[in-house]
Amino acid sequence: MNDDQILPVDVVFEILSRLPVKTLIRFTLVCKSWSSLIRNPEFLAARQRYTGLSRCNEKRLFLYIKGNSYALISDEHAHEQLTGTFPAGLFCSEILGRSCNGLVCLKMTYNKAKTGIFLWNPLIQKFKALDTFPYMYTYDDDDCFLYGLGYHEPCKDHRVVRVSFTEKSKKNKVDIYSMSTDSWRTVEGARVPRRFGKQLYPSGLYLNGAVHWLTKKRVEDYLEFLKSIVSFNFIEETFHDMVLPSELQADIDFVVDINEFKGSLAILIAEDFSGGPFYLWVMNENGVAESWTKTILMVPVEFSKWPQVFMKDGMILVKKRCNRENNPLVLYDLKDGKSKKIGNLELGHPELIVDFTESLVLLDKEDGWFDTPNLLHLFEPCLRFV
Amino acid sequence: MASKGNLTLKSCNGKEFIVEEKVAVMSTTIKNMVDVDDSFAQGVIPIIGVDGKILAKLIEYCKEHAEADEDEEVKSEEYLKKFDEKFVDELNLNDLYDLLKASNYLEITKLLNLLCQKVASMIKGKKPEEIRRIFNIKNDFTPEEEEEINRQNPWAF
Repeated sequence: MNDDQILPVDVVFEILSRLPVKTLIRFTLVCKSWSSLIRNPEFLAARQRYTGLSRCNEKRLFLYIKGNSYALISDEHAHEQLTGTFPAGLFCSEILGRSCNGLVCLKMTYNKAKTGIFLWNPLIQKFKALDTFPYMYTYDDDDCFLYGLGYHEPCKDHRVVRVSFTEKSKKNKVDIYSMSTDSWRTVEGARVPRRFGKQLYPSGLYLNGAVHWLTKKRVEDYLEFLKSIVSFNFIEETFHDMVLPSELQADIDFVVDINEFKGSLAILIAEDFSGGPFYLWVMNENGVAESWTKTILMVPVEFSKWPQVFMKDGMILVKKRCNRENNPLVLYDLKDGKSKKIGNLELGHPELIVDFTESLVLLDKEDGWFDTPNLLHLFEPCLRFV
Repeated sequence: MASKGNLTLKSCNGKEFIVEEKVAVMSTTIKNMVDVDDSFAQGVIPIIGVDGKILAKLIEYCKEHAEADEDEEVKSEEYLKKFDEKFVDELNLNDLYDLLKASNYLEITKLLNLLCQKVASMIKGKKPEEIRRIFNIKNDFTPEEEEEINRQNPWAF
């Protein structure tokens, strides 16, 4: 091919935007102009749009965290895993915001004492600390913190909302972190729904411009708790209390997972942990309380009921009952009843397994971002100079 | 001169093609030319930088798609899908390259998307050195820079 046959940049852009993450990261090594094109925020934004249209055929994955190791498990090639470990002494104690464009929001704990909140793209292994270190949280047990990770579409900005409720002052405070400005600000006059109860499922789910938490709140004058969904809209910066059908409100069954199901908000419920069917509740019209429908799902008895995580397209992660000690984790497809074994992962904490879509977000970030091995330096500043 | 409703397209090596207007205006660039200046509709439209072989290919593609847009029954979606598959499969790398550039210049969006998808599936998972060979790209990284990129994301390489 002749030198004058170099493809125009916009054609290269079009071609590359159709490629999966792994190939693109590899192609940053082709030449400098490809590398800067792939790291360009505009390219990342375009790809995100295409991912929404499933043009890139992104692999769907599970992010699985146990202790200080993690794995990304693909649903198509169940044996294919990307595994890694956090530096010694450091582990993830909670997933505060589940996957939004390939990012998750984590609470990391160091030596069981210091904690910090991070944004993380496990695929490209970059971390962002959401607070200025070496500041560490000293949580009062009475204080309630709620986190949610989302995306502000008009500003093309990833944001984290934090609701803090102090028992002493009885006051709520709402703060928002913006990735583009790398700073926190307080939302003045945010009306937080009264008695924002304890979360039933630890991580907020981002869907249709808002983050959703499944909470339970105490009903006035009663001792019982009722389930409810509270959402926070990142554009209006307002909270909404979503009413659940009365059958779903009752706090008698076990919430397995809250997730997106075919673009709608869905809750997976189990009657108990010993057997019996699952109930999949789907809110078919966003925000319309009357549109919740219930589907009964039968899962073969050879699968234990726990842990279960479900993915957007109706796959659930379950543990197969065997007589051996290490019961394998399997992906069970609710649509066709087929199951797929996945690697030799030990049973972890179900709350530390979320579904995940791969993305290049953060690849363009240099300043203030840490790759995994350097993360420890934040917690032990003295190590920085060793 | 082309009769009414037809346009004459001339390749850079002087080959002329008489095509129906509905076929030619699949190209946004040609559509804009005809819309703005009526004289193009009567005269000859020069297609700069596109030779006769490539222009013939472009016309072949646009003809099928323009006819399908007009009559869905004769050329169904399935028929078009098969046509598209065959069309890209028969191209060698050089033609693919030239068609990409031509469809970009002439703004034939459907074809550009089809070709980009073809190239994307061709290069998916390939090694950087293979990509440089295919696209005739010079490696402008120093060995140190290369090592640094490898170190950042070892799993991808």
